[in-house]
Amino acid sequence: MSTDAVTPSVAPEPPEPSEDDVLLSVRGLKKHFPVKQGLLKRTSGYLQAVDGVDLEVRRGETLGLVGESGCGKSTLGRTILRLLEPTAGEITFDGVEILGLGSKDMKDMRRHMQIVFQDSVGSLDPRMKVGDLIAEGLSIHGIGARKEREAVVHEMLGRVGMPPEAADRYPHQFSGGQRQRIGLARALVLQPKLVVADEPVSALDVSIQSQVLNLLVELKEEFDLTYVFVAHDLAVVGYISDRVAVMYLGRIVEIAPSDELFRRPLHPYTMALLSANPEPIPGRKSTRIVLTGDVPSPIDPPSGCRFRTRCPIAQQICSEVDPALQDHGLDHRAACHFPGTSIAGPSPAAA
Amino acid sequence: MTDLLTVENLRTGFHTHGGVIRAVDGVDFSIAKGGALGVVGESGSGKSVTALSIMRLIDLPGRVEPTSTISFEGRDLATLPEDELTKIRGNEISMIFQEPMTSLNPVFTVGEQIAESVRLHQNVGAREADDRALEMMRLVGIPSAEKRMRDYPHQMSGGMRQRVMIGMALSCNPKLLIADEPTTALDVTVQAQILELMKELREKLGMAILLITHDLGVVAEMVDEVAVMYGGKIVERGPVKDIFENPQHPYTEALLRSIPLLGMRYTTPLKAIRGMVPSPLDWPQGCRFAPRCDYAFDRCATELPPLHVVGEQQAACWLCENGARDVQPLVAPL
Repeated sequence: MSTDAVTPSVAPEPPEPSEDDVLLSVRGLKKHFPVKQGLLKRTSGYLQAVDGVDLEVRRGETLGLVGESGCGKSTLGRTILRLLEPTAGEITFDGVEILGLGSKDMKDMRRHMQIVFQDSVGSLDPRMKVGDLIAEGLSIHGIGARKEREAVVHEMLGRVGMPPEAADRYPHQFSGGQRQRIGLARALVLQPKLVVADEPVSALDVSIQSQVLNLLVELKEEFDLTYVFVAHDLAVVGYISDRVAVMYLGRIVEIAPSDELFRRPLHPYTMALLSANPEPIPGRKSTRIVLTGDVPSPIDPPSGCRFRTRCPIAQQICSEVDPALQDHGLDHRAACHFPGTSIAGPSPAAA
Repeated sequence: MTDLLTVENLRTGFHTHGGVIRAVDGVDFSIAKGGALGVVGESGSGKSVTALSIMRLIDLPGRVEPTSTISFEGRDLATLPEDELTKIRGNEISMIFQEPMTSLNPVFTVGEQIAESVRLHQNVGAREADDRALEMMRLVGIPSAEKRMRDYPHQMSGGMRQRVMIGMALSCNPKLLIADEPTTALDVTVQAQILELMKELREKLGMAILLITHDLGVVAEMVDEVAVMYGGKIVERGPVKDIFENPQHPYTEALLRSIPLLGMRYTTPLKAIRGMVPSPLDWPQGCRFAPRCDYAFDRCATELPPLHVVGEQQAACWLCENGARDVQPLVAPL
């Protein structure tokens, strides 16, 4: 990647991390799903969806989680909200270790941590009116009287760019983009601190995708939010995020501020992802790094570095020693024995 | 170069109780022998119905209207009797789809399925068909092809299944391959493999490709010519480089500006196209993009613009009536 590339718009530098600035911190997080086989449904192995993740989400930032299917990005997004109970690890949210919380305390905590899903059909109850769907969180937490809730719902609808009449209609009467707006209103009505957005624009057409992305940016400003943005599209994740974590087979392989990651990718997997991303610029991709093979099964991941079976620069050591995330300056960490080694002749972005 | 396929005034409507859904509403294009045309558009633009219409794979209540002509090497596929069309389908024109799992039969091995398509279309014995199947598996880059021939579709990954589909489609040396969102269901690194494979095979076998996709990035890499569809019509077409560097139709321009490029940041808002794609039951009068267009003026609401020639391109916009429109160049940050 050329280092002298001029970026027309430079996003504000993310705040320097200190204890107070960390909203959510995760240590050694693992989520394994038992794999059951045969008539007696015996556990024959474990699918290691998330396998040892350390992560900090800083107050006010958007952290992107990017990776291909099966890398564990969605599982990680759900586990940090404790929507899935982790197999091991610690999760500290706003200074509180949430894994130790009982169900009542956890319920109170959930006000502050919300999620928006990709599938706006599956995540909105088809029998409930939009107004009731948005007010559901308020009624669960016993906030406000009926009249007040109604007013809040109308206000929220306005904030996400929907008319107040929408409250009396049902989810199926809306398009995908509008349903995604409803999902956002539903998540934001409790004024959470953290919102996990799990592939929120992946199912949308490009012209609608940009509407929702712009809305996400506006709402973040307005409600003082922190986002964890999960998606498979590197350009989209890079656009919306302050920092990006690249995942592969249940691990974070590289994490850096968005601009820094694109200018100086250090992990070969990140380089391959960048190079595979089809860009609407004809004639640009003269040399593309094409990875061979498929992602190995997370039931039986490779020894050592998990990427080594597809890595063009893998050496003996890669199969023996599991590389840890190492600091490379500029808030940039990568888990590779040979960070920054070019994996193809000319750099992928050299037009 | 001579044209392999020429489509003129293609209209495909679905005659429902609620009215006629004019999914494809007057589309013209042609593909040269060995050429590659990309048809891009969002959901409901009519791109997939266009592809299916060429193969006449439209089920009732849909029908290709009798005024349409689909001329393939001198034969009009729109009027050809069904039995003659069968000889062309899968033989001279093949098609691959987005989800290989639903296109493959789960109870036969992939080897059997490729061999079957060879036997159906070419006058060969079982043994020869098997050999051809193996040859195709190798051609599309399936490792240990002999062993994988005996796999059932569910034993393969999405990328491998798409390779099998391509192998099957190419087993009879088609002159035209229609690929409808061939990589949409795949991960980027696997998508990169399949795109490379399709490019390589196109060069090797000299077939023409009609690529249907919503992904402007895929189009930019794969084809020479692009047709942008909106509201059942082609709104702009021309060489891929011209279209992407100097989009003349406001829809093409808005579409290109609405996608984040690598390195773009949220401090620059994306160009959003307001509103929604109109309903094919009731296309707007005049230009179909006018209700969402930033440049629309009175005439756009009443008169449907024809394709105006602008250099190598053609754009269906009144602003291009007297030549090129001034368009700010698109800048890629990285």
